[in-house]
Amino acid sequence: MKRFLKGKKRIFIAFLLFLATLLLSGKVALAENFEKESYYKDVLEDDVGVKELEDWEEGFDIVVTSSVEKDEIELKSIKGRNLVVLCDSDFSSNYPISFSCNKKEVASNDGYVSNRLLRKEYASSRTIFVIPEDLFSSENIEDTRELIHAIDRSDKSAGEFYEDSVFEIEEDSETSIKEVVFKQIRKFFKTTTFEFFKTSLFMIIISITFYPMLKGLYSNGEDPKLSNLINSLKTRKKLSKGRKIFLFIILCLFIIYLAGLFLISVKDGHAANIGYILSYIEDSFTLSGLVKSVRLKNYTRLGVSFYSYFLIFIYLIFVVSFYFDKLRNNFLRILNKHIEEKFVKFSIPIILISMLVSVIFFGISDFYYYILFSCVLLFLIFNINAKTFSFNFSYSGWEKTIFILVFLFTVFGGTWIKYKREFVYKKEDLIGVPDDVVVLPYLKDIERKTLINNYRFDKDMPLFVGMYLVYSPTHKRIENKNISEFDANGSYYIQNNKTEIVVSNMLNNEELFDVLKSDTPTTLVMINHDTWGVGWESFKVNIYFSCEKYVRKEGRMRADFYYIGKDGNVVRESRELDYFTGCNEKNVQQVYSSIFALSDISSEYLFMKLNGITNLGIDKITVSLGGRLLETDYISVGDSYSVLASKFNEGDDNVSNYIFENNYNLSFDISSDDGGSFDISGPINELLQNEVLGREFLIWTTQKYYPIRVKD
Amino acid sequence: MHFREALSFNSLDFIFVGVIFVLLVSVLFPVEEISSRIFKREKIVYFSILIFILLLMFSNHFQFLLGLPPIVFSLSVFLIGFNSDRKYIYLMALILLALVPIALILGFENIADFFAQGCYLLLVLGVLKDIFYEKIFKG
Repeated sequence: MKRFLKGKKRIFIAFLLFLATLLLSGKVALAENFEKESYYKDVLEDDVGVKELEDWEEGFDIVVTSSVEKDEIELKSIKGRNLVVLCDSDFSSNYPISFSCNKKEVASNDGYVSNRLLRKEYASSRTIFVIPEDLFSSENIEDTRELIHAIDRSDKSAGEFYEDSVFEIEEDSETSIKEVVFKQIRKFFKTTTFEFFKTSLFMIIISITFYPMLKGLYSNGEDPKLSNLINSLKTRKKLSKGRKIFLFIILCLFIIYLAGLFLISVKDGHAANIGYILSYIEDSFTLSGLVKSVRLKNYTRLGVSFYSYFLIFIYLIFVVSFYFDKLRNNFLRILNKHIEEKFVKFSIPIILISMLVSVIFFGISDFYYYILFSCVLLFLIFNINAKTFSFNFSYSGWEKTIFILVFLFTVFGGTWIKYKREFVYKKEDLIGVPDDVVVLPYLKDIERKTLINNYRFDKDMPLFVGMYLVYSPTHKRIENKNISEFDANGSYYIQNNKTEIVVSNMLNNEELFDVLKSDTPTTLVMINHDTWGVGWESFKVNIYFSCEKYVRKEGRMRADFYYIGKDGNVVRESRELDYFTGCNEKNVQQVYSSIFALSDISSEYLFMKLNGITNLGIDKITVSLGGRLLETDYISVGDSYSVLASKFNEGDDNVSNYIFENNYNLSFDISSDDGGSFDISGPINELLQNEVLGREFLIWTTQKYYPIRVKD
Repeated sequence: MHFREALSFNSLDFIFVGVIFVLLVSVLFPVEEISSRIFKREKIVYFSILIFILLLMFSNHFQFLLGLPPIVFSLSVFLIGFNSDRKYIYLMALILLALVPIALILGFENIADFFAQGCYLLLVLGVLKDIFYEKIFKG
């Protein structure tokens, strides 16, 4: 026992030393901060309120352009957190994205500039913000706050929408199943059922933890006395050997948990900040924290969440082991209890009718968990009643008549109300949020049979709703058509879609093919092939990176091949590429090669889409087969809801918006009023009435974070 | 517009309404006296609940698998709480209430929030037990 205690003491002292080292290292790191950086960091955290935004929770680095070298931006951006570049002098950089800025303005071809603020996600969940110092002046700070929060809201809503949208299907079957499971879990985390489960779990943990104390307080009579508790503690039983080992394991796991959290705190740049660790723990338990971790694929936070729940779970097992028999007996006692006759008599028909109301008025999918809960409850009541024979199902004539009438009234009344409601439309505002600043893309959530109120739009950008063009600043007539009607002579937009759909349409339409060819390298390549044949076993892809900018990678790269199969449909075949370790040296071209075997393709055309990297930073892609270099063409690619290609003829009054797989041709004239604005509710309501748009649709334009509502 | 389309019903909803009707009739009317032994009330009831469960499972098996265990667990916890001694429930509520300001002073707002919720739930449980326990259970 002494040796055991010695061992425990040693672990404890080692742990304390570890914590002290972490605290010291954190303090040293903090002392290195520049004064101006610290000041603006405080401004961002306190005045702009970035702490409230999930994008910023991991912490952020700040660089003030006048006091740092360019190389520091690179260093910090590699570190893997959000990066804020505060421009207080003339400055330009190519890394991680190209931009130039001064005290008042910022300009970039790579990122999205909204009201003088540049934002660009340059790696998975890593974002660069370039902010001119002027935006932090006392007269602008409130607007900057509104803008950063509006951008966050836009990202969040659009991100959630993209996850369920058509574009996410470009995955291999294995990933799709994983995604489907993730989506379902994410949805479940948002339900009341999960909220109840979580509360029940915590309540039972707290009850079991406090039970010995409660029992001790009442151990000697009806009144709670402290002396009773002290006596019960004195006479408590000693732990068995098995339980001692179990307790020791729990303590070890808890120490590992704390140590891990300290390391995370240091990694996130907060040194050994107890406040940060506590908020991290709190967040890992909260529903929103879990949903966020799943959505952002933040595996560290997700891991901490699961570890936290695991710790609680084993703690629960440990504590429940003391009271298991008590809990089981308590539960069994309920199952064998006699229920009041009246309760059984009325609860069953009431539960059935409430289920009926849910199904008739809302449908099973909307009230799924309530119906499931009702089924469990019904089963429980029947089961207890069958055991105890509390009620023999004798209803009087009146009771039967009333319940049957209520049933019929619910069915026919509900059906009639639903039928009537089908022909009556409600109206609501297009931008339903009360925020002062709203930027595009904006996710509109609308109920069935709802239209939107008049909304006059006069901005100098085109406006899309879903894939439909509803406003163009320079045209008098808009025609939304199916891509099969494509005409390259007029003015047009071509909407993005899944690669296999784009590819299959390109192969059927030469005009479209020519239009979608890109002069600059993209991640979609068409491989020309006069001599297929031998060599499928050694298909070689070379990707040349310029290494001028950050090469965005998301895990392993994957090449998807699209070709026409024997049945005439487009077939997709995927191959995992080796890891690209990143650029060794800046501005020095680096070639990344991968050789793999492809199945024998008899198709005339072959397309290759590289997933896991962006177009940025690719100099060229070459493909060879059996040592022969093949001719390639780059094809335009888009990101989710975007325009693949567009052309505008001067003086053209009409513009066509071509949509792949479009089933509804929306055409209308833009008749602007005296102020030059156009009421876009007309075309949107036409789409809503014809059920072309779903319950959720995205309102967007070709410039990300374009402000659609600004403060007066 | 087709009537069924206008009501945006799906066939699953129709089957569900049908099963609810069968269940209600079998509860309200003495089916055992009228029908043979095959249509015993208990069998109809359990069979109907089984159909409910199967329908729910087939309509969305992910939701079903994710939802059933938490529902059963939450209901069990509620019943255990409902069946426990009321003095423990109220004293626990008081302890949690006392912990709320302590957590707030220490700056743990979320934990204080959680204690407050726990206190509220325990008070609700206690009141529910006081009012309904004897109306639901005998003795």
